[in-house]
Amino acid sequence: MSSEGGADPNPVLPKAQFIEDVGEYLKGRSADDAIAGLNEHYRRYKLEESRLLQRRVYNLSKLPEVKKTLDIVNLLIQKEGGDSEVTVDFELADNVFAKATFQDVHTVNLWLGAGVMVEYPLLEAKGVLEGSLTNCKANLETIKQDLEKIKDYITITEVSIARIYNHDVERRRLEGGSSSRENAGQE
Amino acid sequence: MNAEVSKPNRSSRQCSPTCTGGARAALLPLGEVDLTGSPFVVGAMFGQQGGATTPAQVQVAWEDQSNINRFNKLNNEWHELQARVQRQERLTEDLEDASNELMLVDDDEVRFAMSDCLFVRLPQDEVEVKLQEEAERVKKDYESTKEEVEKIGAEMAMLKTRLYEKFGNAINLEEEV
Repeated sequence: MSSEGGADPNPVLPKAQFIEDVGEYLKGRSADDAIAGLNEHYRRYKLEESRLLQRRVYNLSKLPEVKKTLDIVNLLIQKEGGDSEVTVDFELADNVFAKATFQDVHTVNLWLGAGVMVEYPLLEAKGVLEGSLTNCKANLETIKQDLEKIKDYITITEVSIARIYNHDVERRRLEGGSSSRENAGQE
Repeated sequence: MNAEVSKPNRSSRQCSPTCTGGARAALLPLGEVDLTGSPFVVGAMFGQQGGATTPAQVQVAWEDQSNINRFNKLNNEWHELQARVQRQERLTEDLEDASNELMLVDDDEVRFAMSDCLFVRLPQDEVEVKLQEEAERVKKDYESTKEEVEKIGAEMAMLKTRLYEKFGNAINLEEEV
């Protein structure tokens, strides 16, 4: 589902290049063209960033769900073998609760998604849930690394655009300065 | 500690590809790039005073770029952690409230919310232990988050000094409020 830690967030994504010397970089092309090209990269980085952010939100919302389920399974394990009854109120529909009593439970059904529910012995269920918890955390970690890389790309591109822009303004200022003096002289 | 709350320095001389309102920006309209979401804007210093160094004359080295990148990432993280601190503060309060309420309850049996749609009836003392454990855990998390926030704040302040030293008014590292 996710890319490896060291790899680029997205292989087709161009890597952001740091510009050592703006004057050198602009040789053979206009500032407008250079900025337009960087803009195109910038848009793609932003797109990738929002894609990663979405996945992050999804995993972040999954995390507490799995934790809560694990809590419940842990409670069942704690009560397993005991002779006391446990009574729960569970939601049937919005704001409608029903009462259930259970004693000495050994298995639990886990909803795996896609219309599949599997009955597990309690300890096995715990294992499954702990596995998906670790998975979820690992996903979040990879997403974080990918996001950091893409953020660097975005920052580099922003700085590059600003530098080219400033370089161009400076050039025009120098040119404009001399030409306006010429004009003044002619008039 | 907070490196980010200081008011942005809105010098009229500062201009960036985003401030399209400025007369200078009209030189090269760049409506497409929106840098306002970024915590910093590399702006330009356009001189009324003729002798000032213009940003194009300040060389940006890779080291500076890395510092800017680092600052940007730290700024992001700082905001995330700050949000987490607030969540944990709220949670601590809620847990305290729950403990206080619990003391007032006469019943031996308490309904304990395990999830949004499941309440387990548990003996009062068991719930008390659960609440205490949870409070303990949140407190630990809270402290480590706080520590992290401070560490990041310190590094940001350091990067800020270094970057302002080099670029002066040509860079804006303040929060857009």
